[in-house]
Amino acid sequence: MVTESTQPPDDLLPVEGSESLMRRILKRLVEYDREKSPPIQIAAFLPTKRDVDGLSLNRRISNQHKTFLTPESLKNWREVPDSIRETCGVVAVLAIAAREIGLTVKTDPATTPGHVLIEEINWDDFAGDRRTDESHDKILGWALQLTRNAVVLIAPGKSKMT
Amino acid sequence: MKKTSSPTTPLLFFREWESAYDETRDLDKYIPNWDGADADPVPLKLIQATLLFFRHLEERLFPAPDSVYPVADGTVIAEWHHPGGCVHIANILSGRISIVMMDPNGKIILLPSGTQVLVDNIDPQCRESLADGDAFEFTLAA
Repeated sequence: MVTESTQPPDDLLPVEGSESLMRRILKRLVEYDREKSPPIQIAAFLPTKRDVDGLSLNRRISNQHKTFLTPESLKNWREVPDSIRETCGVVAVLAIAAREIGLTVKTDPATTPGHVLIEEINWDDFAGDRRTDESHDKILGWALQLTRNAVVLIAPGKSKMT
Repeated sequence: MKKTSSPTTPLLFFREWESAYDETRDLDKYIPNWDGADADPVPLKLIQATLLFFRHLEERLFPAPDSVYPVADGTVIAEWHHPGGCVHIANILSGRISIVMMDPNGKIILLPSGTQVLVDNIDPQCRESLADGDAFEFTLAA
């Protein structure tokens, strides 16, 4: 049974393989089609310019069944710009799915509860200062594998493309 | 863009390609910071290069991508989800096209850059499915 408490669990608790790791996705990028495998585009797990230290995700529930953050809270987080919040969705992947393909899930306490990083999927290796053809393509492959194992918790809403 | 089925007729094949071209032309609508995280817009030259890349694929009767969208560094990604479970990802960069394939078992294969690579390196199981759908097999009437 999942308990909602006012105090989220310790952000530094080791991440269990069975934990869901959530990420916000943009409607304009991530077409969602449950008939497809994977049902979403790999853009969901590609780094943005702000993912310098790794792909940013949030834990959902600890192994003591305490809630770090609900998908709704992640979607509506106060620091998210209104234009993104209105239309974004939330996807999740199990920590074990990331580890099985050789990725590292590292706790990284931040403003949102249960914040973690997948260090190997970072902006600098994808398109920044450290980028090589190999590092770039590896990240494409990892993103594709994560996408294949992802589930959609909140489908993205209507896009407001300008 | 979302395909409703695998192409079964030349008409559908060309309609899906037209849709892909439209989606590619629309990439110029992504203004700076379009992702809320300082993303770059897609340069016009790269949009033109993507259109050219697609034209090469269409001429080789390769199916249209299921989706075309920008990346935060101002490059372009095209995704193909083939019948049979094979997925192709092409990232069109300045001077290079990165191609990644996932076979139906989830294995990732990094392919060398190039148009013909996409056509040649499709998983045999997926090729069979595509042939069933006529994407590789149909011939155009004179």
